[in-house]
Amino acid sequence: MKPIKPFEPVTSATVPSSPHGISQVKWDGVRVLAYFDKQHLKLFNRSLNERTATYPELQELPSLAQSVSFILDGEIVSLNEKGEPSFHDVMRRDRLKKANQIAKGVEMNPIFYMVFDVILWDGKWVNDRPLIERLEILEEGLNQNKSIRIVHSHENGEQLFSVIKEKGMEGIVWKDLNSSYVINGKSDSWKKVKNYQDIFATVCGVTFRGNIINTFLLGLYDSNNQLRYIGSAGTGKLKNDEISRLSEMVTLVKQSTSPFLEFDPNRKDIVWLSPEIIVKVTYLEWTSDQRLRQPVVQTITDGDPKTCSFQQT
Amino acid sequence: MHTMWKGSISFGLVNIPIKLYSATENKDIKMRYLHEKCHTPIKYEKTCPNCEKALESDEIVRGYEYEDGKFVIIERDEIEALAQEKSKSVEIVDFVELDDIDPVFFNRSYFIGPNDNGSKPYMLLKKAMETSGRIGIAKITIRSKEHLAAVRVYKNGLMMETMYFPDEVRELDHVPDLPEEMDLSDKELKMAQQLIEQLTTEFDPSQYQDERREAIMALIQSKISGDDIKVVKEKPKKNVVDLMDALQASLEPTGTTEPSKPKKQEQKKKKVSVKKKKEKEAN
Repeated sequence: MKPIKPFEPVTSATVPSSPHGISQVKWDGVRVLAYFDKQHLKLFNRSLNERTATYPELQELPSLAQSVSFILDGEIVSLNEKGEPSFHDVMRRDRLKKANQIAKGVEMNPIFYMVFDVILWDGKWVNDRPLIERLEILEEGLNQNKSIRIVHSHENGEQLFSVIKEKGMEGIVWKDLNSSYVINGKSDSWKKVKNYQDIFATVCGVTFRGNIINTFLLGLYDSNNQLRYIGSAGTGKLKNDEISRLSEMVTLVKQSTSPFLEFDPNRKDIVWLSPEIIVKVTYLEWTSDQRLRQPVVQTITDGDPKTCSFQQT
Repeated sequence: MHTMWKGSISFGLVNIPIKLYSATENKDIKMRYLHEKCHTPIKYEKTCPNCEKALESDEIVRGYEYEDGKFVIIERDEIEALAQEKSKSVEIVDFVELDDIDPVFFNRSYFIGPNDNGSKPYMLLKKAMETSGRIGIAKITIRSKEHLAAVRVYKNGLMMETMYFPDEVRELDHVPDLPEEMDLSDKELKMAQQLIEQLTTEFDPSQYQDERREAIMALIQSKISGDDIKVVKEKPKKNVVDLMDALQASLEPTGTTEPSKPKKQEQKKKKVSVKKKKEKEAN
């Protein structure tokens, strides 16, 4: 089975009011598709990187599914101690490579797989069938356990979004019940409505307080492939082990000049970096001069720094 | 086993080609010094404080400080030239009783093995020393330092202990407050002797282990296998499954589900709702 690129929603500022759709919680985690070819269950993320060994919890999927083979789409999520979805905690699992660390991660930091779609079922491609039928397949054919759950569908999107806002969760996805699943596609038959904004940015410079990183200078590529400064953020939600990991990375990528197109060259307190470190940043809104208001670094992620562009927004 | 030295034992007219091997090994746990921040092994740099310059090894010579701040420079080949005269030979000069030598003299131990064509004279020396019960005192130069050495029979072979020269062994008299001869009561002495008697046993080296080294090694192993103590401090998230149940239930519109049992029941309800919707669409 060849891994596929999943269907992506478009951004919408308001909750669609069309009666032909349902709304689901937009779980803030890592998009992972599960592939079962009658023998092996394999996991790949949106960038087609394999994550089979990373999430052993999902090996129970074949025993839960009344199907000889399948491709499921869902989100790996993790809850923090307060019971809130934590992208940061998912990334701490997603980074683990060694078997013993992963085993430890399963115990210390368990994840959930929130399944919301099915692309292939019982040997047949079902991606062209309308969403309403695919949801039925999931509901009838996939049992749940404590870590594998089906994302609930809600008729009243406004109501769900107000609950999401109240809880400070990421947002909702509205889906047209007649829509098919477009592999490697993006269309307005799925619309995401976000409660808070987030963005992947590259770290282009850091300042230190003593030996500890104090602030990150964040950058995005503009349409001319130039790095633009979008604001500074504190160490936010990063834990000590991540800050020390970052400090290591910083020593590897530091450079003498600013990677930004324009920046005050007299700032002696800044250690400039080649744009290789990617962080996920949440923020309130953009200011009129293209800076993030109240940016908070959520976690370090892997990926191609070139994808940290204004086009994400 | 790694050969430490090649040469010969000579005593009288007999010459025995031999090789030396280290008989003991230091099992100290080797740790490297790292930069705390980035865990890179630190580098030691030899610098000249006068020239304020880092030095290469070919810029460094050895000197003997014969007076404060005054040196005579000794080139490496000068030392080698001196050693050359006597090297490559363990020259047995005397035969003595092992008990005559106090253990304080012993430094390092080497096994002696025969080199090419050395087997027969090797055996001859071993047998002769065994029957006489004597050990040979010799001089040997290893790594440009001359040592006193004792050649003796050990199990089914020969070994050599390098020894300190007498002037390298310090005088006991230099220990402060060493008691002079004094009167001790017979009773006290007897008690002490009895205690020794009670604790007397056969020497069994296998009884003794380096417990501290074992503890450090266990710590290292646990870190390698991922049971890092840093991680142990972190507690596993315990009730996340309950938290997820509660979270999912709280996301449901009020009055449509019982929040206590979100899974099965909601699943059924939802199915109904999706079906209903499908019927609606069909109409």
